[in-house]
Amino acid sequence: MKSTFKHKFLSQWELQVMVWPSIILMIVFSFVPMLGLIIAFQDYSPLSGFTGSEFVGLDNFKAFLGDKDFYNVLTNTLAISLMKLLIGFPLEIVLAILINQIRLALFKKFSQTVSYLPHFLSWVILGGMITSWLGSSGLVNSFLLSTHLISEPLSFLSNANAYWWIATLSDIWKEVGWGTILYLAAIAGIDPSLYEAAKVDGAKILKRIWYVTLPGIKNIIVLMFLLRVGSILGANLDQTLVLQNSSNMLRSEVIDSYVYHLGLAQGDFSFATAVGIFSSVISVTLLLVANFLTKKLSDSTIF
Amino acid sequence: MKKSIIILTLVALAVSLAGCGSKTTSAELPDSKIEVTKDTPSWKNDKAKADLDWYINFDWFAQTWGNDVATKYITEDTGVNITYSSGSDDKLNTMMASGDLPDIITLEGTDPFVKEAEKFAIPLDELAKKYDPYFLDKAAKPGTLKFFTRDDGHIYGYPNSSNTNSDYEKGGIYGNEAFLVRKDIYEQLGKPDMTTPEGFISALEAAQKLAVKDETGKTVIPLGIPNFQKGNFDPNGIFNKTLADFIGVPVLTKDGKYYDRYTDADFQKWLKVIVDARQKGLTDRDMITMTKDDKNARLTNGSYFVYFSSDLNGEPDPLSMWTKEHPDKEYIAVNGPSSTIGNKTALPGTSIEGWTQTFITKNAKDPQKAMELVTYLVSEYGNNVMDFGREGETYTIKDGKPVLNPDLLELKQTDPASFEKKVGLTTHLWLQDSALLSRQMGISQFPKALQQPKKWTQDHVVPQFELASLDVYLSKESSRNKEKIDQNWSQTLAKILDAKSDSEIDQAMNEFIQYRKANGYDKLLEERNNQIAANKKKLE
Repeated sequence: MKSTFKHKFLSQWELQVMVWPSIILMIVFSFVPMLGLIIAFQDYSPLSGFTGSEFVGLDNFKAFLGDKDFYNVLTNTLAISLMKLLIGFPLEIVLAILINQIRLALFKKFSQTVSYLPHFLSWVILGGMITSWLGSSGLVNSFLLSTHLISEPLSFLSNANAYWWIATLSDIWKEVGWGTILYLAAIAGIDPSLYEAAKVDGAKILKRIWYVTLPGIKNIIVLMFLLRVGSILGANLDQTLVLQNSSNMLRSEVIDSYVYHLGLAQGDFSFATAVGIFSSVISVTLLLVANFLTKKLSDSTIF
Repeated sequence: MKKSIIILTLVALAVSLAGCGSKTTSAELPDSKIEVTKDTPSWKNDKAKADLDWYINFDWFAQTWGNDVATKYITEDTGVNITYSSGSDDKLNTMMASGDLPDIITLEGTDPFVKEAEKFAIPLDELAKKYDPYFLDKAAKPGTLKFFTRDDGHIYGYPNSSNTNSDYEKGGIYGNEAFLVRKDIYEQLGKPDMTTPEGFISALEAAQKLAVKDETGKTVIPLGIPNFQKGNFDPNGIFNKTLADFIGVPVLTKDGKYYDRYTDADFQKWLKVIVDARQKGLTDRDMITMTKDDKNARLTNGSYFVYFSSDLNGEPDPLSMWTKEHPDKEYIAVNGPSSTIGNKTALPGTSIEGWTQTFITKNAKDPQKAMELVTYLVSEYGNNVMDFGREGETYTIKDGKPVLNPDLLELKQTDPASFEKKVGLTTHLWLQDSALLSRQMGISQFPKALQQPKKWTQDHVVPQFELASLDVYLSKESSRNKEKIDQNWSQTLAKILDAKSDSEIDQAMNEFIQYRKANGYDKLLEERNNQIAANKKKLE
């Protein structure tokens, strides 16, 4: 047994040498820091370290699970993320297919570049732009007023009920172009002879998309969907912090900003970690469920 | 195979835990290198040189040591050369957790770490006794020292801008809130009285009827207030403090307990007046949602008739720009909303708690030189060097007071930013005594656009020392609840300001009171009252 192991190890030494550095890095940077999760069960102070801080059991978990506001925060997080998923996700695929259909190479490049552009602006900048566009004398109101669609400026950002839509639409506007990259790459990888064959069989453009393009990029779609489900509880802290104000806080506070306001800003790392663990557990569960479902519906999954 | 994984994990663990190394305890302070006396500051006798690291927990602080006049003189005098570093809480947390601290640290007085100063700082009183008794005896203010002595008998951090009772008695302290009006419109309206609810509304209406245009061609908005955003000097526009200060709502009950200013009848009355103005279209529409940049743009363009400022010190740039272009249309301070029951306007001046606190850490390479620098900067002589430079070169003494050379004074008042960069006087303000500067320099310390408003505040400024550090020492539970209640108050205000009727306002207030109660307000109140009682004891 021992000799076979040694023998095997030596015979694959080139592969072993390649694999071990990454395993060590993963242990050091991904698994060892997990010991820090212990602070969720402590009254942690950076000055005492997690060896010196006092244990408080589940107190931190009780603090937010017993907080009535937390359920409102959870609802907001889920609602905004689901809206981004349900609207933004299909839109990326549609846009990728549309861009792919453009014949004129120059125009194709142009459309791609224009749609990527907002991705490179940070939320800090976009937040300023969006608040000024949506202000009472901003772009949107001036347009609506000049076309006589409204008679008085609307206050979009102080209307709590409009916040979910503002967050969803501004996020889609920023990221939809960038999201098409993988799909465009996958579409480019589809064998052109399949399109030729479909054409010969008399398939019109929509039929070709349905029967050739979509099945061709199915694996990427499933992969992207699962990844997004896994991060559904992270509803973009940057966006929330720049678009949030006292009028829309009821609808704009998400888990990330809740953790920031009540945990990090107060130096209460234990509380922040406890909420972090909670949302990680939920995320993993959602990911497993989604993985299971996609396995049932189609045969491609990530694990 | 398994064994090696375990060993690897243990090694990694050891690596990650290292860094929490040993720290100097006060008992092991090295002996003084010179003979010390309480009559002479030690920097005069100690000719040794030292390079010290000083961390400032503000990421906007980007000054370097040695590039301006002030730091050059300080290094010549003390032999201490400083390497500044600055950053935000992330950097501070990492520093504290790793135990890898610089020699000197400056934090905001409300920072959560201030509570645990004994874990990272050497008590200043011990350092002073050993190296520089002049600090306790002559340099520091007795009132401030008493206030900052903790229950264990030690003083860990020393504040800047700490104003004591004796500073208030000597006068020359300015407020930071003002009711500003555009002079041209105000005079055109015949200088209306805006102190009563009726006068206030009718002046705003009259200003609207004039339909004066601002710099961008838009009609002037009758009433503007600071933006609501968090991270402001005081969030929620004027509704946390400024309005209540103007109408003289007390901060303590008659028996010296925490007074709930939000539910005060007079405050509620004025709140409704502002909602009324809002319903009549007399206020900024974007009052609640606008950003600081929006507000600054409006001030720079002269877009407001009235600007109710909660932080004059934060407005010099937009106001200076407007005044420079339109000297006849400048913003001036006048009497604003006043009590309907005869209370006097009471604007809080800087308190005894000051603004920041500066600590010498247990990692200090040369605690003696660090202490000497602190003594130097806290002393009157050091303050003069910081604020005025060196006699004969940058200032002269007239009537016993230092006076900046005219060209420097002009630069300070018209272009504060380049003054700070080049001359640096009053830039290295982490141990500065602002009251001393006020007594020496008076109103001319301020940029020109702020001088009239600052002067106006002088008659209304009062100390509110009982409330010092009110929320710094709260329990974790209460500080979490305080944050939640503050957030709810912010939402309540937004609801109130957009309310259509008085009953909607009352309903929003009632909901707020219930929310507060359900979220630990009673305990928060109790802890605040304990702090007030402790403050009073230290102020006796």
